[in-house]
Amino acid sequence: MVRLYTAVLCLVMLMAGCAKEKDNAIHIGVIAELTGDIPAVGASCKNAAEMAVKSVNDKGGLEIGGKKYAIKLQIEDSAGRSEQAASAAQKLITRDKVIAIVGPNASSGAIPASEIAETSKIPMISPWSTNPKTTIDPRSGKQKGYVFRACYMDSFQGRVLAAFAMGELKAKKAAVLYDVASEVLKGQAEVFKKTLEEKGGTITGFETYTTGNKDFTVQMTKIKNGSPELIFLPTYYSDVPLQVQQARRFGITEPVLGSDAWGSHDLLALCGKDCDGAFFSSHFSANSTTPGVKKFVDDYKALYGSVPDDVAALTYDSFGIMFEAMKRAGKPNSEAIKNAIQKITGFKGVTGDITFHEGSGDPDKSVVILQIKDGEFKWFADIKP
Amino acid sequence: MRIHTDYLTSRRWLLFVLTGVGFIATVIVSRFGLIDQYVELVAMYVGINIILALSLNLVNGYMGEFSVGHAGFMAVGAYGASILSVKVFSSSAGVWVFPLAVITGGVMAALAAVVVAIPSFKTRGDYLAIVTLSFNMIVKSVLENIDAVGGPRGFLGMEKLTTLPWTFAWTVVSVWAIRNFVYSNIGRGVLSIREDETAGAAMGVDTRKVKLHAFVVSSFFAGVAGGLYAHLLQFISPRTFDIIKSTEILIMVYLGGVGSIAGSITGAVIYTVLIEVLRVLGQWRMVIMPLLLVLLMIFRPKGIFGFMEFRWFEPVARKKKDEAVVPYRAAAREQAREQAGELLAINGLTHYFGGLCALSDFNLRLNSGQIMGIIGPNGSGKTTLFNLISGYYRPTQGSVLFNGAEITRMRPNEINSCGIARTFQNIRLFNNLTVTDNVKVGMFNSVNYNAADAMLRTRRFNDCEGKEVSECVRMLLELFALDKYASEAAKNLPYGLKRRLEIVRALATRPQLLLLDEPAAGMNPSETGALMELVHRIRDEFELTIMVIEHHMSFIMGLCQRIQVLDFGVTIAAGAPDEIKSDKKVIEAYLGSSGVSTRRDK
Repeated sequence: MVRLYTAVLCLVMLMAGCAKEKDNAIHIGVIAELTGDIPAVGASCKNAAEMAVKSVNDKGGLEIGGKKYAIKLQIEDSAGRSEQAASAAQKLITRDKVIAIVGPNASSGAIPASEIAETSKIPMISPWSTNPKTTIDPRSGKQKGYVFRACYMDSFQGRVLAAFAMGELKAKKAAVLYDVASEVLKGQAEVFKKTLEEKGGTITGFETYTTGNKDFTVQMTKIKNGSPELIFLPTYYSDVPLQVQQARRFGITEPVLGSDAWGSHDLLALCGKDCDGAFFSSHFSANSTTPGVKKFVDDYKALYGSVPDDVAALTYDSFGIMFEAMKRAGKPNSEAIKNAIQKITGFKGVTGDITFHEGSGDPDKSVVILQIKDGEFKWFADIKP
Repeated sequence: MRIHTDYLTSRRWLLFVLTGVGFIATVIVSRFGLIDQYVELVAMYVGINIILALSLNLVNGYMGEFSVGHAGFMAVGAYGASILSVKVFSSSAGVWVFPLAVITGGVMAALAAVVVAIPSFKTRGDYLAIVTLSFNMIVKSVLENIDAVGGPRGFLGMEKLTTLPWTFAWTVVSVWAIRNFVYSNIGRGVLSIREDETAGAAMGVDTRKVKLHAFVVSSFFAGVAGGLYAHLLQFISPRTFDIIKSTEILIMVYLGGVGSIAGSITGAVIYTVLIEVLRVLGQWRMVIMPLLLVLLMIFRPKGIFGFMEFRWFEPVARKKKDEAVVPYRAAAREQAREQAGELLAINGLTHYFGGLCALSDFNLRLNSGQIMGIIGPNGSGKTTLFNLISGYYRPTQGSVLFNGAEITRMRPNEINSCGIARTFQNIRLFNNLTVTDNVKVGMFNSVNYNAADAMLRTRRFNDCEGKEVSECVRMLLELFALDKYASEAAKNLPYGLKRRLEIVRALATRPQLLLLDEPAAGMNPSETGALMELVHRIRDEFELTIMVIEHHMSFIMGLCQRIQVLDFGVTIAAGAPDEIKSDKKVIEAYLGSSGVSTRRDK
């Protein structure tokens, strides 16, 4: 037993002893869900992070204030667990002396990690965390100073979609059908309604159903009677085909608009021709014609042999924002980087144009609108708020 | 359990010094930032995990159940403590907010434990595992559906109140309290459930009370760990407390070894530290961890400390020598004298197993001080009769009166408390417990302290445990020449001594009536002779009334004043030994005749 305790003690000392020695490189930490229940998210995040850093280092490093710095990446696994995300953040900050952190993606890891980043005054960007509480200090209700995210939130999406409906689609009267059991979808529907009405539009029908319902006859009858110019369906991709097919049967031929809950290729198989022409919002489109996106997708394909998903694109943009902020800060210093991120405007990312405002960790960014055409998701437009 | 008589030579005081020094060290270290915050964070995880592992070990290791949903209790504690510290108290309420919040979390988890404890009265093993699993899932989905605590998005707003000194203090308190619980009367009840629940109940252990206590204590500490966790991460969500979390706790317990406090501590330390140290391996970390566990299970199947204890975690017996102990025999005698006359009356007792009549219209009158024999061929209903008297079966018809009071529908432990003790046909000792502890389980109802006294080691506990219990056990063991085996595990005793120990254990329950089920089975003539002497002796010294089932005719004839003969559940003869010997029906039943075989063919 003595031997066992000696072994444990040695391990602890090993852990205590392996602090990084100083060098001239800039250390950036990544916390990704490499193991656990969402390893696909972690893998995309890791791939994009390594690609972003490689592209900078291949050019001899990042030029900050006239001096080139190599970027060193330290990737830690959160296993999708809150406590491991927190210990990973603490390790990156105290052990690896990182000056900034990208990740974690899941909100259950991003929130506890953000508490540690905030107290340690280390800027952190979560690529994918959509929980509004990630960037807000729950005690004061104010924005955290050092915590940012690269994705937009649900309320923002509802706002942009309403603008898109009234602008590009020129619809002044819209009907909404949404899944009342989902907090996310309910939020999107409500924000859409509020924004549309503020802009002078009218909601002709605001119908609900609950996950699992298959018959929408009653709702469609009411929607038809309101004679809208557009139907907004913030519903999950598995429900969309039935809803669209039943709407068409009722003779509702008006354009259909969806949210990011549509983003699965299963939708195409299930809906067939009925969904042709419908629009929905997304974080990222791999077949966008924007040159920046095309280069990102090609590079990613060349390196990893697969098409990047939204997590990869958002992680790539998180690094883009980080590098941009470092350049603008003029020195590799956490405090300066944080201040620079807050001042970033019109950053051309692969997920759209990103702008931060002082005192907010949530970006204003364009939303990618995709259209279903010939059994494929086609990039349609980047819509700015 | 070893007993250390001399407190100082055992160097036990070092434990207190180390604890004190440790606490001061944590205060200094966290106050002045002497260690790396990462190490500090991991150290706090270690503390929380030690509490979790210990609390699960109480149920899985000591009680021998298999709970797989422990994270459910942790969740209740975490949410309870967080709601209290965020919504009820404002941050200005001072330093007492935190301990109060954590304790409240523990109490709420303890209340939730009742939900699992009640099904555990009737079911165990795989079925109870499913109950605990469901409990975990129910807690998770209930939390996901309560908007007031954030639903699936989680609850936050807690201050970072969990510090290294607090974690250290709570860990020490948990170790101390759970150790005290295990090494007490109710703790022995917990162990008896693991070893042999049926035998435990026969020795008067109120298994329901014991299970409820074990679940409540276990959940309380799981809740405390939840409270500490919530105030460390400042964020909790239902997902945090899923089956994976429960599995983590299980791994720590089985890695360290079940039924051992040192094991739980070791398991928690190794698991928590290794997960962090192995970070260098990237995503292979989560492959290496389970692999290590598999290897450990191959080379050390009971875990590192399985059923072993670090000496310093075992309590020292504190003896009180100044006051006289109420002699056991005197007390028993007094009790017996009060109730001379008819002790047991059985009227028309009938029992069916499905359509099979195991016992039919059985009647019996037994006076104090008698030794009565029940004989009959195999399957004639003798053991069924004992099981009916001692409460294992509910009779289809009829009644059993003991000291004039009806005991027919009582539970086994209640019947034992009335003054009926028994032994079993196939010896049912608590095999992994020492001889001393086997006898102490028999004294379950003789102690006058409760679980709280035990956990806080009050004066009442020390008086009773150090004086009455230990004296009484010592006396009983000496009387039956088992004293030199006192700290031997029961399973290591030779056969004859096991039989004797079972009788001693039954005597420890202070019975008036003793039921012996084939005590001479497997004994040679000289052993049988010694046993006969022993039965006579205990009858006289303890003023007992005894019922014996036996096949050895010489044993029965030489011992009993009255004999009742059963065949196919029917009484075929009753009377003095000489009458029975010459009874025609009895000879027929035992030796067989043409009449018997046709009757059996019917």
